[in-house]
Amino acid sequence: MKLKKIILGILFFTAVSVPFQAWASGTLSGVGLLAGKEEKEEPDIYQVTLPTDRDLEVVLDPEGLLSIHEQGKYDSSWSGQIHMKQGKGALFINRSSFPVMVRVGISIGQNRKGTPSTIGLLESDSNVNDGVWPQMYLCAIPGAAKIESMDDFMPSDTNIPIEANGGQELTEFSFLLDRSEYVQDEKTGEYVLADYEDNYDSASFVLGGKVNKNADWSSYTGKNKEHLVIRTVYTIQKQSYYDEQRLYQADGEGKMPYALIGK
Amino acid sequence: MKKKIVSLMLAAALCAMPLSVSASALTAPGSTDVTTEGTVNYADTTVYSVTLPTANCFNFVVDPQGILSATDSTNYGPDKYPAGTAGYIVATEGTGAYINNKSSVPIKLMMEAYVQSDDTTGAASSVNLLGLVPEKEIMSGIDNNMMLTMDITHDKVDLATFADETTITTENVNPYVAAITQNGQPAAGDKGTQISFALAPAAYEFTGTAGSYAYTMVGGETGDSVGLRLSGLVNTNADWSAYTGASAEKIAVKTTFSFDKLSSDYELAAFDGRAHGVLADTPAEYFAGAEYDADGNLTGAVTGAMDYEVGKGALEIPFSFGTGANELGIKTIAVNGTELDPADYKALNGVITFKSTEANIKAAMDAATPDGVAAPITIVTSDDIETTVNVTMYK
Repeated sequence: MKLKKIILGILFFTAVSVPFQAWASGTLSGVGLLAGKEEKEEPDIYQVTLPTDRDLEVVLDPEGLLSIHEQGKYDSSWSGQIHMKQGKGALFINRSSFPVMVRVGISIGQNRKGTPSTIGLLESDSNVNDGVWPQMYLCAIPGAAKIESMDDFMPSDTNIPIEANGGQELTEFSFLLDRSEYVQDEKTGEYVLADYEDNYDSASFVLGGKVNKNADWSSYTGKNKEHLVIRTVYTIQKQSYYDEQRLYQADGEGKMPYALIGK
Repeated sequence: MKKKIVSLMLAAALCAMPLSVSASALTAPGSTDVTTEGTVNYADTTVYSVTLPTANCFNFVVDPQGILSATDSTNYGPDKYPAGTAGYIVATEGTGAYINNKSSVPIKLMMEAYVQSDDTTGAASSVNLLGLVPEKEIMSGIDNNMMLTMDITHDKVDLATFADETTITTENVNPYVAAITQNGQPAAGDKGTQISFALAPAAYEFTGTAGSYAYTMVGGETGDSVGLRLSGLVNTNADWSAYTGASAEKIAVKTTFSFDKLSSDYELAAFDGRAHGVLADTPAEYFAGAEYDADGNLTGAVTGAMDYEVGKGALEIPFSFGTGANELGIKTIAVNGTELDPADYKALNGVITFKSTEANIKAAMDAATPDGVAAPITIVTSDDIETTVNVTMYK
């Protein structure tokens, strides 16, 4: 349905400048058929819910101290993990009348001015515990399903390593979210969101990863600590149509990242 | 129909222009910049708890004539002194310096000592202070020869019961482990006689609640301990009257105890077996080995070279600092001529490791090429010797 609309638009546009003969055979009947259909007025309504600045709060736990809190007793097998604070994560919900692309850019730093963090960033977790210096494998984990709240978050098997540290660098990935349906109120003529449960599209991700459990992390705690800030830039762009072909195509089994655009 | 095309073009224009908006809800397509603070949970695992000796812990009696054994057969009987106490320097049984380590890390204990005749001026004693020499040498001639030594508890002492100095007895010590040879307060910059020890850590565990985690000692731990007392021999053939009576010249020993975290893991080669925890005093070998001039003196500069491949872990330079009383520290390290902050390198286990995110190290690594780019690193140790390691960085 959606593709057909585009064809209509393009054909109309080019028909002005190109001689009729060039469009012989197939396209002729196409124009004729489509010309018979009625055109609907499309509302241009923007409604996107974005994450706030508390939604990506992470906790780095090199020693596994969280186990004392969560299990009542210290468990060293908890060491070296990155956790999201309870229930946190980034959720984007599109209820616009048009599809949107959500481009996410992430970097770490010491402050809002873009001073690089002195924590090293790794592209995989295989050597995270080598040596004695603070370093981590920080990754974004997109959700595996369309959800309406982070309480229902389920991680996919995809890990996107964050490798941007300071300055204007960003590690980027994007989601493509479908449009919602709007209906015209008979009395007022205004467009309202069609009232059924599924009438939205959403994407989500959390942060996770591993930290060097053999390092001394004391300079990142206490008074005079070096801060760790996660900078996220969300860019929303209106899309003309929703192209499923752009979505992430996996090669094997596993939980696919929902709405993630492939490279 | 025309209307539709126009609206498409407008939409395209909107796409190309991100609007700058605040972090609160956007009302149209655009961009928003959000920063979030991350938290690091960490409890410092270096906890110090060292019991050092009390003042006046040392006592000793110099007994050239054997008066003690002649008058006190209970404490100085033939079981301990078969030939009597003549010529002995004797400390009371069950007294001495007691050191206990209940830290979470192994510590290096350093003792520095010298003999003096006056506590205020540190003036040297008039006795003839000898090193560890055979008894025959001490007893020859009529000089006031004195060999003043440390008895140190041996490895077999039961640490669970060694809670204070009362365990420092003849059965539990190795006698004459080291001699105090420094007579008089050393000149500024010099050191007296030094002995160093490595004491093992106690077991610790993580405790606490969210927001106030701590690293505390496991209950019931005794920690590692060592005990010392004074001992030695004096010439029985000399006249010791000047050191007794009202206007006697004093024979005093000044000792200073200090400790630090052990800079390297336990290396059994560093224990020389003289007594519990005593470290050998091996000289430093630096990076490429020590260099000496024609007179056998250490020259002020040493050089060497090594390769480093960027991306294969932290930059590490093997370095020998020496052990025991000869262990060197680091004064400064410079990369490409710029000094580093001491927080950005660590010396441990015979290796100096560098933090890859430090600005000068990162710049040297970023400049690396497949053909190799030189980055000289100059290490100045506490003896003012400069070692330059020419590191070739490859990418």
